[in-house]
Amino acid sequence: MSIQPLLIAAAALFSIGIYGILVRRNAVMVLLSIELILNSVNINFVAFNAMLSDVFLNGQIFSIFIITIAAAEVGIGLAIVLMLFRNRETANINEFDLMKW
Amino acid sequence: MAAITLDILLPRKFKFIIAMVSILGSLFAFLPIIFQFANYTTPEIMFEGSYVIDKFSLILKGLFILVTYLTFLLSVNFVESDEYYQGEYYFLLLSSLLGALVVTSSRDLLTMFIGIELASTPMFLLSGWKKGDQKSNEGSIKFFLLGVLSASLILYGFSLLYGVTGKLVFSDIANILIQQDLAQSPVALLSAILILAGIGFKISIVPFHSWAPDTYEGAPLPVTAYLSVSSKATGFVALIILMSKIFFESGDGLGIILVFISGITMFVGNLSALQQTNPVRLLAYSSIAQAGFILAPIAVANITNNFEDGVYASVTYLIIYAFMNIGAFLVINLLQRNIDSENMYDWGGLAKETPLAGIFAVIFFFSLAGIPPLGGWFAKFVVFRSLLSTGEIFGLSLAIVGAINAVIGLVYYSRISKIIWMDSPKEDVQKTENSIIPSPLKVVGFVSLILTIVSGIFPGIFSNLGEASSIFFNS
Repeated sequence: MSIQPLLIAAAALFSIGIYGILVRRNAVMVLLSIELILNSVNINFVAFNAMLSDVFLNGQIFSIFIITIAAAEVGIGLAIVLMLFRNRETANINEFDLMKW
Repeated sequence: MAAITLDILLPRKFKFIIAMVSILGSLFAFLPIIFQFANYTTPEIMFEGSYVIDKFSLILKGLFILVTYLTFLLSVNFVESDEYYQGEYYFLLLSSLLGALVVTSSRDLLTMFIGIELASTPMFLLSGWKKGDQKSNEGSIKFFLLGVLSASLILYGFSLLYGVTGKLVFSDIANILIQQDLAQSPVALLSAILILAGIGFKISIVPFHSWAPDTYEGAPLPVTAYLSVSSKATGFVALIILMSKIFFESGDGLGIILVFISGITMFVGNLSALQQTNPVRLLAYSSIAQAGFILAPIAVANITNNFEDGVYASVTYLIIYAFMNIGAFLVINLLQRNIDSENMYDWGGLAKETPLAGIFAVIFFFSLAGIPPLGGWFAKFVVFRSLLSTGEIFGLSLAIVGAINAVIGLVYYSRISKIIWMDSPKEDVQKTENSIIPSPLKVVGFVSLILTIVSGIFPGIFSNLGEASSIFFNS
């Protein structure tokens, strides 16, 4: 099986995620963009696992760990965004500019 | 063994939800490390090479545990003074410590990733611990977004490495890279750069440093001390292991990138620190500059391929830096108790009210600047020696950059001492009478004081630790 399409899809997801982080102004959308990057890594790992026909399934195990950690991180991230929203009534990251230099 | 005992011990302490338990526990956890170090014979390899206990990991584990112990002592009064969540605070610090301990021993991609995440994720929460404070919130979200982004960059790099070699254990990866002549292939370099960018966020080297001052300023002071010492050291440990175990054959390109980053980091950190009025931000930029110093020997080692020397210098610097930086944050903490201003130019004459804090200030700040006979000079001496002994043009130029920066650093480090000892007090600033220093803070002060002075007068002790840690690179 050729894994090229999978790798291209993963690279595309990675780039879209980076683009989203740079362009999106809403903190929740930035979080989602980071999730896209993590998922592109998952695709990479599973694809490589299939290509190498790794008997230890290292790649798949790794991607399961990534899914778990991503879930934990989104939990923390949403908590922080919620806290910000309570104090500032906005989730626009352009307005978080109390501290500069 | 020590690590496994720790694995079981640390989370359990949460059940007691008392500061005392975590303080005693972290001190108790230090004992098995000492015993293991004393009875050390050969590296202990577990889980098919993915978890290794050698002198390098033992020494750094000792460092992490001691730093966390000091952070606990710093936090006791702090956490009690406002309405913070106490139990969770100690639990999160302990889990961060556990992550740091895992990183020191990890020798495969998965273990290392879990360790890095476990070490950094609790810090996102802790940096936003002052819930009502908008600065704390803001620092926390900046730290979180960049921290998670860096984790995903590291992961993308890891996935490329796995794809090229099909292995997770570092030694297997390195073997396959060399056998198949892939060590200098674009894929390996791309993954190295992605990993470097990811870890660069953790250790706040220059293109990736922008979160550090904001987060440091917003976070509670003990957390800031922990961030600038332990969190940064975790990143450096991961970087040292990855560079020396996987990317040692990757050619000069990577080393040259590291050399440039290291030099720029020193300049940006020091020049920005010169203009700061908030002492915490000043320390944040100073710790960015110090990161440049720690990075320098590794960078040159990557070119000359002599990791023993580089690791020796970096680890020695890391150990000494840890204690003097905690001391510096303690000083800020002590002084801020006496005055109601975050502008350090308002702090004139403060030392006369709290002489002990004033003395601490002079010692720790001059140590950070690298004045003998304090610890900082030996740390800088080791770094310069490792840079110059290579005889490479890059080592030489980096040493010159370092020397210039040591002088710039002296300006702002001594400025604080000058303000609090020599300037006359400003009259319009609100003072709070708070002359009694709580005993936990005194303990922190004296422990870091003793370690700082001893390392300067008897450098042999720390250089032995550094040397022992570098030995494992032979095997």
